[in-house]
Amino acid sequence: MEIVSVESLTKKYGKKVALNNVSLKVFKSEIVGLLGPNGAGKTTLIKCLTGLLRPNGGNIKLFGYDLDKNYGVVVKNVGLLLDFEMYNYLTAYENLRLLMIAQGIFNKEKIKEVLQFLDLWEVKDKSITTFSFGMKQRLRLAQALLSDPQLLILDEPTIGLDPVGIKDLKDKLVHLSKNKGVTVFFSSHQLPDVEEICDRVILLKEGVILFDGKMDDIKGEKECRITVSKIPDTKIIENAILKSKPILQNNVLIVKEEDLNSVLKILSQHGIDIVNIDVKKGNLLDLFYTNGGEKQ
Amino acid sequence: MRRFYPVELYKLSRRKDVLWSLIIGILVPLLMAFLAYKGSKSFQMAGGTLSAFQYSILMFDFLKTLFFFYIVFIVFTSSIVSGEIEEGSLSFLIIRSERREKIILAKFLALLTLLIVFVVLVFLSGIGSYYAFFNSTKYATHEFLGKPYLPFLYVLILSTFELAFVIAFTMLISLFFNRYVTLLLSMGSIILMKVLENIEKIKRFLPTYISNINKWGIAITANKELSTKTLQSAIFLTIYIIVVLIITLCYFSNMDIKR
Repeated sequence: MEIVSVESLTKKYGKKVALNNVSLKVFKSEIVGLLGPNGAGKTTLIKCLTGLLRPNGGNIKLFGYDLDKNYGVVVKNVGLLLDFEMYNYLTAYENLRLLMIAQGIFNKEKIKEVLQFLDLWEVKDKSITTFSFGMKQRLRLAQALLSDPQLLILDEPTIGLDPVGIKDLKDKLVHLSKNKGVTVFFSSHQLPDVEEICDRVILLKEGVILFDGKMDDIKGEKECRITVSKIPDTKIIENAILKSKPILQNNVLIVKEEDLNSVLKILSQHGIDIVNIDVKKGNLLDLFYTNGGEKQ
Repeated sequence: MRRFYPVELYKLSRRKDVLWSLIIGILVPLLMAFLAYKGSKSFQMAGGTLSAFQYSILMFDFLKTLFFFYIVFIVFTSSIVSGEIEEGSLSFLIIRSERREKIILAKFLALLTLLIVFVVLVFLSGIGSYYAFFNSTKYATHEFLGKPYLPFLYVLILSTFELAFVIAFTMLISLFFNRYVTLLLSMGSIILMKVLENIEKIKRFLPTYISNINKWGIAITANKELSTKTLQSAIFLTIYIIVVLIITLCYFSNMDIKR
């Protein structure tokens, strides 16, 4: 089931194009990581998905409903975490109570459950001006979980959390996804976190999606670095029939694992000695760098 | 909107600036009555005497002349609109509403409620101060209502309408600017309106003039005529408030919440 469906989404700030013809789908129970350098359009995309920004073009559907036409129905099932201040002059409990009243679902037990889930119950009556950044971030997450949302949209949720807090959060997100069927769509700069819990990754740069693929595919893809005795003629490699294009960096030839045998054969035919072969598993960092420049 | 109104009201009730402003509003009539009681030179009236009702409304008008109510309500309004847009907390409400307009209407109604609370408390403080101190002075008539009382009542009513307009107007400005610029622009607009009241052709269109019975009501002696003119002014001010609110709602329903 499609929980998020975005088609040809465009958002401009004046003349600057923040999102350019973005299309994506997120399915039920998936944990999808949204990656991209600063200014890539991640927060803009998240704000468009929650109706805070009005797109200049395109269509957004959440749970199969058009966001514009059914905003009230749709947002009831969405939990949003953005780097926003809550009401600083109120306590943690008061903040959550007011937001629940605003949603029309006031339930003391739910507030207690969420605050306990995020280890904030002990400080529920303290003004949030006394909270550390990490505590505030957990409180933001608490408000996102108040209504038992079926879709969690989180912008940089691990910012400000200590390593224990990050691990806890990741565990909780996985728990919500796998046990409660919650769909999680979150942006992050923390590649290891994304790599660890995401089913799928979307890479955004300058408002364009450069990559959208499953985490298993990224991890399963192995890269071989063949160090050769002398630099081969690039034509030899270019003329070979390979599944992906090899990269030549000085005397190191980088090829996908599936092309390794073919490349070794060609090198041997042309009398080029192999000094070393290093096989490396695919990871997000490589994906981030290799897709950073040009559209795949 | 029934969901958002109590939320906004609760938020206002927990703000320290609201509490301090209320305390100041309550203390001023008390202080003035005490000064009169002590025969201080700081409190002087040219020959007149006042009933409890008249004293109370005079104190309200005095606070308004000092720009106290303007400043206070512009600060509150800019804080709960542009302040919340800047901080981002407004987004938490937007994603919990079917229609954004409900949030702005709830904010307006909550501020209106607070305005009425201010008016009532300042009025009650005036009455209390009168009987506590002022009644023993040479300025007191020792009556509750006294005569005339209608012009005083109309001052209170029209000033409340004017402040409601100031709230609506500040809300509109708040959508475009941060809270400090909003504060400056709103205050600047009120001062400008006060200055423009001196231009004959323009003044009758200005909310500050329409609401100022002391300017246009002095020459009117008949109660019926004064009542009719007050009703007209109240209708004009209501139209202004509705027009400004409609513009605010239309813009807010489609604006980008960028922060």
